[in-house]
Amino acid sequence: MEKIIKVDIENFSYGGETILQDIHFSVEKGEFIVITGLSGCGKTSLLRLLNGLIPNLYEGNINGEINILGKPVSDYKKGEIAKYVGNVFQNPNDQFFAKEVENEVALIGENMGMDRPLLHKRVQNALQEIGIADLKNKKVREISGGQKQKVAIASTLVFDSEIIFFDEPSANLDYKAINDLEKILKYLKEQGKTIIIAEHRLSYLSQLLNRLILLKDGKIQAIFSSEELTADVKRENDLRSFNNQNLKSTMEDPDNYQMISIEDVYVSNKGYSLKEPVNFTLNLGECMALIGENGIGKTTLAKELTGLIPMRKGKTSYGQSTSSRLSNVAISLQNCSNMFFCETVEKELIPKDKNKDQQYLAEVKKYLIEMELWDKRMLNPHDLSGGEKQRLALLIAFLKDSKFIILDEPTAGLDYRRMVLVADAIKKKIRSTPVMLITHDIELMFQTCNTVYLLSKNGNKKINVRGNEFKILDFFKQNKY
Amino acid sequence: MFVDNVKRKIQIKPISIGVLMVIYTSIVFFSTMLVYWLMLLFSFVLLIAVKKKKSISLFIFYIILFGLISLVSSKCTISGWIGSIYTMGLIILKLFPLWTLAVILSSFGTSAIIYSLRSLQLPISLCIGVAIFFRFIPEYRAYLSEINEGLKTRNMGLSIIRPIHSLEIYLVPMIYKAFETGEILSCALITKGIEYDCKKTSYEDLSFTWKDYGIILVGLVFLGITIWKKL
Repeated sequence: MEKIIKVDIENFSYGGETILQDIHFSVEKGEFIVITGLSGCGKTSLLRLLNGLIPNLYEGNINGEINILGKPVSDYKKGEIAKYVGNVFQNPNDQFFAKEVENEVALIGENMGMDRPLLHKRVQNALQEIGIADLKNKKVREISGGQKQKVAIASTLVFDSEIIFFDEPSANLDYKAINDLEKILKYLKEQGKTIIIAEHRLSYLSQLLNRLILLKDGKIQAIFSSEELTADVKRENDLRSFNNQNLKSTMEDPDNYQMISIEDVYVSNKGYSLKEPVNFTLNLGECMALIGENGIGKTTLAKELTGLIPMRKGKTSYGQSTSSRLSNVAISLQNCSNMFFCETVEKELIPKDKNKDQQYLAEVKKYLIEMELWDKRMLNPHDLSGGEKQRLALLIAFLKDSKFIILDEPTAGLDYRRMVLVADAIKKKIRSTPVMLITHDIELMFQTCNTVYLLSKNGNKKINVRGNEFKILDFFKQNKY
Repeated sequence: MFVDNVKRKIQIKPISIGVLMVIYTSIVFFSTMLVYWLMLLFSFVLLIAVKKKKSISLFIFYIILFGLISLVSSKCTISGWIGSIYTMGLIILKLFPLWTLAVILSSFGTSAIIYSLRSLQLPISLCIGVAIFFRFIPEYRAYLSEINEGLKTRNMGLSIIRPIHSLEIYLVPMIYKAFETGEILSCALITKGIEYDCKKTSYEDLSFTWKDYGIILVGLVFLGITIWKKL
């Protein structure tokens, strides 16, 4: 088979620190390669070297060579590589330049000087191939995260790029959108595209991949074929699950002591409302997952319960006014960067009135160490990585003196080890304060939640997680029970 | 062979609006009231053609502001802080034809703006900067409301006693968000070949029609009248 990519990196360093070392592999035409490893292992740097963003946009010293289609990446003219290599990034919200879907898909053709009539034909074909022809005239910011990723993939088809790189494309997607992504990847593979994906979530890729490259501390730790992906490999290497269908809940039932009650609260905001009201109680030792399709109103409900927006109807046991709910609920927001207002991580966690409170300071220290943030405590919170920001937001919520904690997608894009850190912290916290967890992360849910609230258009229902694993997976697929 | 299928979406081109903005900017502070009213009327006519809904809200805003300024000038002594607000209001009114054109410009697609700027032989970095600015105006409104939510969850808020701190808690996350968005967008643009050296094309048909020549001609008439009146 034809070698389409050849990587020979002796060493890549930035600011005196070695990021990658002894990376040698080649990729055959039509191969499906997944690069995985813990956060900070060098996945993104490797991808940036492959797509030319290093040294084009990011600095660094490379000792070695990368060949794409038989030519060193450095020999391509500026921007030329875009003809042969498509890219899909992690964040579906900020990677778009144009306002409308069709213009975004057309952008690469415009940059490459493609004639307008041909460009129109190619855009139309690309949208049809990915199954989003109906989104053609939609505004990019009005479509869902999953649809945005499809738009990004469609744009790689305009120039019929042979190679497509994906950087954690599922990090911000829900279960159904990940299923759709899996189908599209399967289609691209069948079309003979060469695909390289850097990713933590492996369950949707395990049936597609030809080889899994495991990076550790900037080096290739191992390369596995899809047949070699066993439970032992997962366990030994701290990897995410290869198959979500086999997952079982490990959580015990909560105590009988009721701490929170929510009665007849309607999910309602800006003209949208869900037909059935929300009713549930939370006991001591309980972590309840809140699940439902994207756009059903999970975040809206969380905001109503927190007091960020008023409730149209219903009551909560911890306060009726928005101000009383705001003071009694702690929340970690999905866009957690919006919760940081201080110069350092430490100052975010230690308010001025707690500066001399030794017990509080000891608790903060314990949390920082547990969450692997101790060494980062003097950094500006905005300079942390995505996963570190999520853990900091979690700590802000945990350290607030509250009756109820809401966590909105605290592990999106986290590797297995960091996900377990979060899961363990939640399990400890529910001994004193009940938690509601909005998540699409099935592994996290089965490790931390004793109950789950199913939010859907045809009604809502609360069930235990243990014993209902298949029912929950089915709900994720169908969005109804 | 595909020409017939090409949709001609854009009726007025960004360049003609851009040229009109340059003309308006050069005469707005020197023009007679008649020319001012004509400029304003013409801007609204163009806005109605592009964004009907927006033109209604902008028109209502103009009427309210105009009414307030008239009320203040007839009922109040123009001095102190009232004077400052009155002057600001007057400047906004005076520049209203330009604001209206800016609203029209913001309705164009990012790539249409870039292509138009490129065709004026402007540097690529400037073209991208301007296009991103227009692309992200609506986003910043959303960022502000997200920051507001973040503040509420932390039981923080604006304080009159600490104005600089209040400004800081909004500004700092906004700046970081701008950096983050800029970085992601740069990655996306570079990997989509924005830097590739070739004759760029446009998905939209941006060739001039009689409407564009007409717009520029009207602008030149306004310019001519203003110069004639000043001579």
